[in-house]
Amino acid sequence: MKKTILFFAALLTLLFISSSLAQVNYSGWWQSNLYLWENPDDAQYYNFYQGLQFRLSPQNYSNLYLNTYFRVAYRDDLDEMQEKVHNLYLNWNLADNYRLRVGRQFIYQGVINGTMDAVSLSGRFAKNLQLQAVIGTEAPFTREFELVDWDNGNLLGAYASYRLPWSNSLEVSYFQKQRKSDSEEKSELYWQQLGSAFLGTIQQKVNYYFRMDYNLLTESYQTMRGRLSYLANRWTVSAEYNSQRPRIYEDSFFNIFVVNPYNQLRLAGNYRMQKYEFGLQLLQTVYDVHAYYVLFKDDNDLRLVGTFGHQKFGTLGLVLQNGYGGDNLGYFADIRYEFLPNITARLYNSYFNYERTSTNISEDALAFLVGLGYRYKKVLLLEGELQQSSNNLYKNDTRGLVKLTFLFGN
Amino acid sequence: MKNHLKIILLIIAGGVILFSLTANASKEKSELKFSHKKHVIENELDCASCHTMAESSESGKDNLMPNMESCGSCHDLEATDKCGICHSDTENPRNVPRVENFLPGFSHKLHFTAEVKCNDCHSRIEKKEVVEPYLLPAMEACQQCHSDKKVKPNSHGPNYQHTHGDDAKSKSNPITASQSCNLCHSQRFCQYCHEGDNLDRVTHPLNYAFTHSLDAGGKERECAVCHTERAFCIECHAQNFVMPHNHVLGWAIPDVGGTHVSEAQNDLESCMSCHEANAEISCQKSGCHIK
Repeated sequence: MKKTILFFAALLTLLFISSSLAQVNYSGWWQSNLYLWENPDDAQYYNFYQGLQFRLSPQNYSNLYLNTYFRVAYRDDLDEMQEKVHNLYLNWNLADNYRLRVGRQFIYQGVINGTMDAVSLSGRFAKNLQLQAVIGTEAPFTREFELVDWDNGNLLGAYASYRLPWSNSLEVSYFQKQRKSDSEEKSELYWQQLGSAFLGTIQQKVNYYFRMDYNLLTESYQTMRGRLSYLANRWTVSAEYNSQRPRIYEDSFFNIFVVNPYNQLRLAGNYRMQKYEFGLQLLQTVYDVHAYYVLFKDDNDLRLVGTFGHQKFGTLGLVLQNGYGGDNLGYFADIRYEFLPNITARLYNSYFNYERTSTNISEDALAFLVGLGYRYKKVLLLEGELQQSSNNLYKNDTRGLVKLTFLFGN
Repeated sequence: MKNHLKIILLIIAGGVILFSLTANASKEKSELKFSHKKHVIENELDCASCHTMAESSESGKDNLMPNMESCGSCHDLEATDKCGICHSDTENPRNVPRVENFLPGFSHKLHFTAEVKCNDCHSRIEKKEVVEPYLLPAMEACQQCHSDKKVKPNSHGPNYQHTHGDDAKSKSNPITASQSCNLCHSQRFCQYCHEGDNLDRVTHPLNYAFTHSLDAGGKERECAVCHTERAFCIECHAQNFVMPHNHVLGWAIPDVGGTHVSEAQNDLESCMSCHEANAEISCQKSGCHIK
């Protein structure tokens, strides 16, 4: 732990020294949060955590930069820190067409592969062909600043995108993960997926995206997804079909609960009228339920979400859900308003009445939040919140949050 | 492990040294001897006098550099012996290198309409006495201005928090790079919510700990996108005795067995996913499975 703190302290020092000596651009923020609450057992708890993120690049050469996002948390014990390095990588855009990235980074190419301590190289090797290759180890799930041994979790992957005529594109990807379990001597494949996608756009208004991922280990498809959306000046309409088998990791919590494959249809629309915005989303999920595992009353779930927003004041929403997981009816309001220059008030209120299919007990969940934020010039942001909620476990759960953000950069 | 850390430290230290080296190495000299200061400050010329197309340009692909004819509207180009006024290499005079791939979606016209002045973005260019590459505004300048003036893309309406997923998936593709999220947002911006700790309940709404099972069942959100490890769930579920749905009445009956017997025979690994660490307590010390 001390090692990590010392490392980041040294890095920051280096940052400020190098900025004065070697024409370096830097920007980022430093945030301190104190979160306090008292449980019904009258015990008091707190979280204190600090986050640091910055990007550092040479002046006049923004192709090279160092990026990081780092957090330290103290939970009810100032002597026990929990560190998390979410990303820390060096990015170098070599010439115009190639990019080299070394360090802790998030790997996403159609399917999320998680955060990796990896080396990735991507480049446009021909006019219409872009390739990317990744090799590395899995980041510890606690996001500690240390590397996992190669045999305890590694990733190899490649991705290719070929640009077709009329703004179309074809993608192919291959990713595999290996890991050694306690009973094995050597690491073995537990994730091997081949993916392909076809996507494009028509006159920047119609977007389409079709994707299929095939699991080579189970020899069955993992995901099939199709989406069509239309973007007009005021309208946005999209329709999406998604058929997915659970991505069961060796260490996934899906091992705890029964999770079925499902087919999902989502229809969503948004309409903007000056400063107002209306949204409606319909989500129908049909589960591929094996008779042995029928634990719920139905094999499909319907969810309807309606929202109304104002550019200046915030959003109001209504949620209606019925089916597989349970019944749910509720609303939420998230209001933000700058009533004085640099001073913003926040008000959040939600009420949900829900009934899980498994219990058949109607439960209420009510939440209320009031907060103030003050911004001093471009460098300091002070926020305070008082949160209160009641639910089936706690009749009154009250919490206080103080957040101080320091923005820096040259 | 220590060796791995050393490697990381070496890489990062190397990167910082590389910054210092490249900071100065990247400056190149241009063959042209053009002074913005002489034209804009001393002769009080507007930017549009030379960059005639700038105010009406709607694409970053447009060539907005003045050509020789623009210069010729003021200077006597016929006098060949005066080439040296602008060109340091009169034997082989060259034009300013064309700027390419710099924000294809950028509209000068839109910014002029919004009364943004040239030097709001091209700051201090009027004082430059030499032609240097990289007189273009840095991304930070765009972000600063758009952040200060709260100018967001049309798509970023009040409901965008609920709808941004579609854009994030489709616009990350190179074919729509001009609309890409990472034009303004770096990866850390996504990770703040999508891989944050939620220690202050910012990522999920208040009460989410008590209502998340409906989302998990209803599949509006894919929990596994962020929470891939069982340790994340087990800690809380074990503390609050929140158990799988099949752990109902009749699940475990002392001296008889109950429904858990057949479940365990069918899929013991499923039991192990929770009970691996406390199997001795839950199975043996309860008085049922005594060795």
